[in-house]
Amino acid sequence: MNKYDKLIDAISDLDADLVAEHLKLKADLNRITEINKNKEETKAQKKSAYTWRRWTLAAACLCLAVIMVAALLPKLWTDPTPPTPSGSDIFYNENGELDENLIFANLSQVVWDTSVTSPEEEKPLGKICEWNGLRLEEELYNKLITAGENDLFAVRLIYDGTKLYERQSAYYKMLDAQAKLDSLKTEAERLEASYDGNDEVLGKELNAVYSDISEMEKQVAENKKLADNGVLTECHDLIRVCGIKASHPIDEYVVMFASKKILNTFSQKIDDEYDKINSSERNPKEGFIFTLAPNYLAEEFSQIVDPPAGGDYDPNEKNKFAYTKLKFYSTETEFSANLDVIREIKKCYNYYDDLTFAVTYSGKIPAEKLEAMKYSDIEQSADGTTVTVTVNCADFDSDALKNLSRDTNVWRIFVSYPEGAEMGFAKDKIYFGWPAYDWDKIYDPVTGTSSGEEMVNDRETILKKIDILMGYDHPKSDDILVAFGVKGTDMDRFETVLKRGINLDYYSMNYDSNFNTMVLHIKREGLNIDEFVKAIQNLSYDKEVGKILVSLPMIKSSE
Amino acid sequence: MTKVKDPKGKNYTDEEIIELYFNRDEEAIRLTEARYGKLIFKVAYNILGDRQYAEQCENDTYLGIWNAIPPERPARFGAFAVRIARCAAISKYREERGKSRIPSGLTVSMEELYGVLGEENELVRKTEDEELKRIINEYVRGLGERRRYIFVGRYYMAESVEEIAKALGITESAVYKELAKIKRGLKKHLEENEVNI
Repeated sequence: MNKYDKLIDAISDLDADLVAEHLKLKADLNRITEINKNKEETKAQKKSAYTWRRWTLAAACLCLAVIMVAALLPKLWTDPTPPTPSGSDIFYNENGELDENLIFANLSQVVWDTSVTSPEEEKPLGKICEWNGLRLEEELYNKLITAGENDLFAVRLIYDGTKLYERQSAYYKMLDAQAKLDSLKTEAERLEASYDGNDEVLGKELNAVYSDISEMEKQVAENKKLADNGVLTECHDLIRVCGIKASHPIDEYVVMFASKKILNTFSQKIDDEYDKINSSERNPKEGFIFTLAPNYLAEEFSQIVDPPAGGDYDPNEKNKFAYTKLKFYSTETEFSANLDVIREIKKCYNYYDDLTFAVTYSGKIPAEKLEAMKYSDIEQSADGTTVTVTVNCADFDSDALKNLSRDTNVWRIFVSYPEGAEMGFAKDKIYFGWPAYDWDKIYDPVTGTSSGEEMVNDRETILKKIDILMGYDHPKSDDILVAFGVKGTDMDRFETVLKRGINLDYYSMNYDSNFNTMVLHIKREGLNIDEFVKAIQNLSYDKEVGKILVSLPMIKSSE
Repeated sequence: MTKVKDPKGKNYTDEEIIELYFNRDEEAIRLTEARYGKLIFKVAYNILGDRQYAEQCENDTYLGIWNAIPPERPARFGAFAVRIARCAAISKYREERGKSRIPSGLTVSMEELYGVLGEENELVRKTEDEELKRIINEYVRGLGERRRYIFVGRYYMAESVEEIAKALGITESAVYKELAKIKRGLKKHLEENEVNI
């Protein structure tokens, strides 16, 4: 019994629970395969329909092409200059096959696709620049050099999948053959040591081993040739070595998401790794069409970011403000929604002055991204994980915020909003009360009001009041009036705020002689109550707006 | 737990089948065949690469189980049956190996392990069979779930790479890669334990 027999026996004695686990898993996997098979069949049916549509489209395109050629023929006849190949055409030889030599020869003209989602759609782009040895289209290059170290990019490496697979297989076959060869050589040495030249049986055995060695050497050489016949055989391993977090290896290309820092490392490591694998002088980067997506793919990003454990930021930490949480966005749409929230808040900040952002993070927060926020004040929490920046409303830059939120170290951003902004109105500003015809008697925007008014601070009460007003059973209560005192003179701004809630056909606006009171006359049918309440709400936060008075049903001026 | 029916429609669990062995009821063999026959045949075929031999082995396995229970009362009957099948098949394999190279899954899978064991004179002591078993078990337990599946599939069940790849939904190339890693890991583990056979 040789040593491998002992190994076979040892493996035969694997613990029963390991074998049982295997059998169970196998049964489970079979079920999954069955489910997948059904799914594949459905997919195949869909694909078939898709193929049919494609052929129809192709036929239509062909007809169009024939018409165009017919139209262009006279021109071509007179112009003997052959057309310049463009886009990925330059990689194909006369037979229409993807030609490796042409790829390498034409890399300086490589056109970079900005889309990682549809590799088939190669589009010619502009000037090619070089960043750490990676050739990039100018726009991407500019984005890359201005990006922060941790900014994330979508990267697509395209290679000739079939060839790569062949090379990979050959590489592993070569390793296997080499191992067998080593083993055979050892065996031959052992036999040689005991062979005295007379033992016929041993001689035959030795000859058989020599024959096997010869065969195995041939296999090693053949597979080595195949494995070396290319630029890189270890694409996936390379990606792993470079520490790229997410990759989706497919037979023809790899899509991954990597920060600028990682890309830099990747670019350098390609050389190092290549040297280990192949001593050829050919530049390994030339084996790939390397593309970057100029836009972040936020959906993937959200999968990469793994927020540290822990609860949300404590909104009570700063008493002055309530906070709304800007989540790490999972899609651009979601982020846009958050920006809308900020825009709303910003309007409120006409009443206050600043926006305050609490940024919680792990690791090191990028100073340059904070600075881009143009903050007027900054303070760090005692435990060092939260930075609170105060930004003047006028300086608020949504791109800077977006950039900050994309940093992998930053995991939550909260923006402050004036207390009550979501559930009510700025305090001490809105009053319901006197009938409109009396408003000029009781309302003094400078000194305040006399009795009869009711101050209202919450949305529900306002809605209730409006409801009462609208349902007021008075034969002439068609309209309502809103009057408010203003400190500034930017009447257009006030008007803009109010117009949001009022159909322009149904309102008129007047100012008093000193331009410190504004009166809005609104017809009932032109009033969208929800929008109107929002308009009042926004108005109430305007720092140039004083008290707002909403009238009881007016008595028409003709009365 | 899955059950197997007898001709009268009664369902039997593994434990009940084992009980039948204890009662020396030959129905136990038929029920074993109904439940594990295909698996037993497959393991034998993977090892021997010959249908006739595999069938012979399958019958030897039933006899083996009949002789082993009692006194054995296996906690995992399926794994127990597979082990007996493997042992029977390997015994046959060794018998036939002297005559010619057997083109089976076991031959290929074991050839993959060439080089894993060190030279006989290079380490300090001989490893006892029992200790080798312990070391191999320890190594397999330390593998991740996927690699463990590949190890047991390839080296115990002698399944083909294609079959493993299909089961796991990965490419054959990926399985080869994993096998290379398993092989390297095993070699390292054996060296660390100063294994010499």
